[in-house]
Amino acid sequence: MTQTTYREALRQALIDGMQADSDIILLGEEVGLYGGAYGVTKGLIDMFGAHRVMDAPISEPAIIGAAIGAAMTGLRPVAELMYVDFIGMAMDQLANQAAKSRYMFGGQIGVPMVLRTQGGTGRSAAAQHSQSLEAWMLHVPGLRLVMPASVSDAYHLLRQALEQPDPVVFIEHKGLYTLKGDITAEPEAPWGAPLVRRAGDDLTIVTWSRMVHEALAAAAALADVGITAEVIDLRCLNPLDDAMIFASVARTGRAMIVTEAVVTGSVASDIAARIGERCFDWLEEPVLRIGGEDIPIPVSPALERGSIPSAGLIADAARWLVRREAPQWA
Amino acid sequence: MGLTVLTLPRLGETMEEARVTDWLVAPGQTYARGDVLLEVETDKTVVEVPALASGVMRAHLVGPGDIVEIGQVIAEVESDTVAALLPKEGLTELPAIPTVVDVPKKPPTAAASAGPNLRASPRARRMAQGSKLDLQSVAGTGPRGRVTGADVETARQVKPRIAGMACDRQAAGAEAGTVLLLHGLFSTRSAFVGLSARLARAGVQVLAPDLPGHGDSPDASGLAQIEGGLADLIDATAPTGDLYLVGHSMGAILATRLACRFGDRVKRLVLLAPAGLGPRMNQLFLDILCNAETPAALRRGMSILGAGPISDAALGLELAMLRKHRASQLALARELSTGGVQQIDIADELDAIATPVRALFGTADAVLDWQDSARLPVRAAIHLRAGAGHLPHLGAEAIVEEMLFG
Repeated sequence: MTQTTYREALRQALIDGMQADSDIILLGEEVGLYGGAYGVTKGLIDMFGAHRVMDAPISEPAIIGAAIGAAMTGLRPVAELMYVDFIGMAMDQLANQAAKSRYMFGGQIGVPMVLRTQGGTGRSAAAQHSQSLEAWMLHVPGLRLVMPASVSDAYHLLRQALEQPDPVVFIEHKGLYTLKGDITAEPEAPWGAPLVRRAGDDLTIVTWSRMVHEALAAAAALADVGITAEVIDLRCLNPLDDAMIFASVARTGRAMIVTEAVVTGSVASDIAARIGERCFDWLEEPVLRIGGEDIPIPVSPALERGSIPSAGLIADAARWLVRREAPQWA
Repeated sequence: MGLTVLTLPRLGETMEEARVTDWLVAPGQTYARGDVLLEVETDKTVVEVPALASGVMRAHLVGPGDIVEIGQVIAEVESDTVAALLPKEGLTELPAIPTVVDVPKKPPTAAASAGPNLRASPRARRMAQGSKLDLQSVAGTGPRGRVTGADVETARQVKPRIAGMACDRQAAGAEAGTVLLLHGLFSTRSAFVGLSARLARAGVQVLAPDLPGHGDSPDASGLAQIEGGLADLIDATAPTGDLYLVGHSMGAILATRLACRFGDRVKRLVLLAPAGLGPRMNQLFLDILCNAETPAALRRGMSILGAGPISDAALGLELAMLRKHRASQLALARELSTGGVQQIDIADELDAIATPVRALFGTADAVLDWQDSARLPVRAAIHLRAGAGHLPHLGAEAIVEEMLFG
């Protein structure tokens, strides 16, 4: 057990992965000499050489396209996309090539690559650099999708992603790079399994990425008023072993999905629908979605904070869901 | 305004009378259409009686605590609408006319409005169905009077529907868990006397009911109804804690269904010569026991069980029990088997549950085939008792205890 940061855990996972598997290469804008936009690949070019840590021109289609080609021909590339907001530039490469090749070539060719990127708010990066676009990825069959919330998951999920036979989109959160924590010796849960971060009986809060921490803060505040909330961190959105979510909701009878993404057309909507379909007879209340406003993310720090859920908002919503205590925002 | 009287309306399908709980409009007080005039308590719930027309309360003719029949006059009021609807002549003499105030049959109440407008969460509906509870009788505490799961839970604890089910209960409330012993068709709780005592000594609560349609319990319409009654029994006597279910023959079908119903509370499912697995059942045995009128006939039937000789006294008691519940048992026998072919298959249910399953078979069973054991899920533990008949647990109480807790 080592106290470290989310950023350092990611870097360590790349180092350990590259030492264990010589087929792993890194490519992306400024991943080499500069060390990555958020410093995750700092120093790796010195450790592994420019043939394994490649600075790419400013062209997302070129980076992701090259990674897909390398994966098809035997390497295990880790492509870095500086902001998930730029994924539109490479969406054809990702959705039509990476995700479909195994199927289109009858299983003869796979694309074992990892697309590392980061999203979310928290650094006043404004409307084009702060989005949470996991719903775009989840909608594409053939892609795996991982969004670690903890330091340990940053390490272990990236190590596990580097062993998958399919393209994995690995979305880090720009607000978590300085998060401190321990890396457990073993992964906290298997690949694809959600994790109960806090146990409770009164409602189930399903969330992922940075919102896990807001939900945990809300759960702690709720405990003070006698409401015990179960907080489930999805960790992997695809694959997702959702049986555990259903078991929790069947027990508590109340469910809330918390996401930083805009609610409309969100992953939260999909999880809520699954719970509605599978747990209908166990529900006391309609499943609630708490998410970002349907607006471009503002650059003003105050407005940016106000555009996404906070621990206070989650706690208010929980009190309404469990006790019909009217929140101030209603 | 005309002077008239109010009578108690019918407030529920089965209601014949009600007890006045409280008047909410005092004499002399003016009320508007829709205001609650008084609360009455029926055999099911407390109901508010609303005014269908505006008026003034003149006098209460019944008071809190009074039992009032439907149609009985309960108050004198002045009401403009009633007056307007009546012929102009005789307006001043109205008190003599018993005016029926037409209250809707099922008025909205603070608790739960009835019928299609009943507000209840899906969870509450599922729980009510499971325990055969009438949701309309449950007071809702949720938003807008919605009946919640917690409300159903409360109602179930208040009125456990074990009406008349005879049940031996030992070591009540033991914290180590509860064992439920379910006998087979034509049998009674006495089949488990030795086992109950042994298990109670082991520190668990033991419930050994006479299944409805048997022994000292009332008659039953079928397995589904019995299952509901057993679920109520568990809710009433073992609302929390670990459950261990033991079922013999037909009781094994019930035990399996209860294991599905109670999910991970059930720590072990023990099946003794279970029905519901193989294709065949000894129709001759069913026919004899469904029709036996004489001790001699019954003795021939009982011999098929392969459980050794039976005393004349025991035979007489059994015959009396069979005669008493003939209709129920005939229906149950038909539900189990037609023309020697079993009608119920519990293999899928057993496959679906995560509870550890252990089964005991006698290799000389002449009612059911011990080789039906092959249809158990592969993870089930199968115990074969060589030479035993259809009551493989008789004289093997230690084995059953081992199967439960070992």
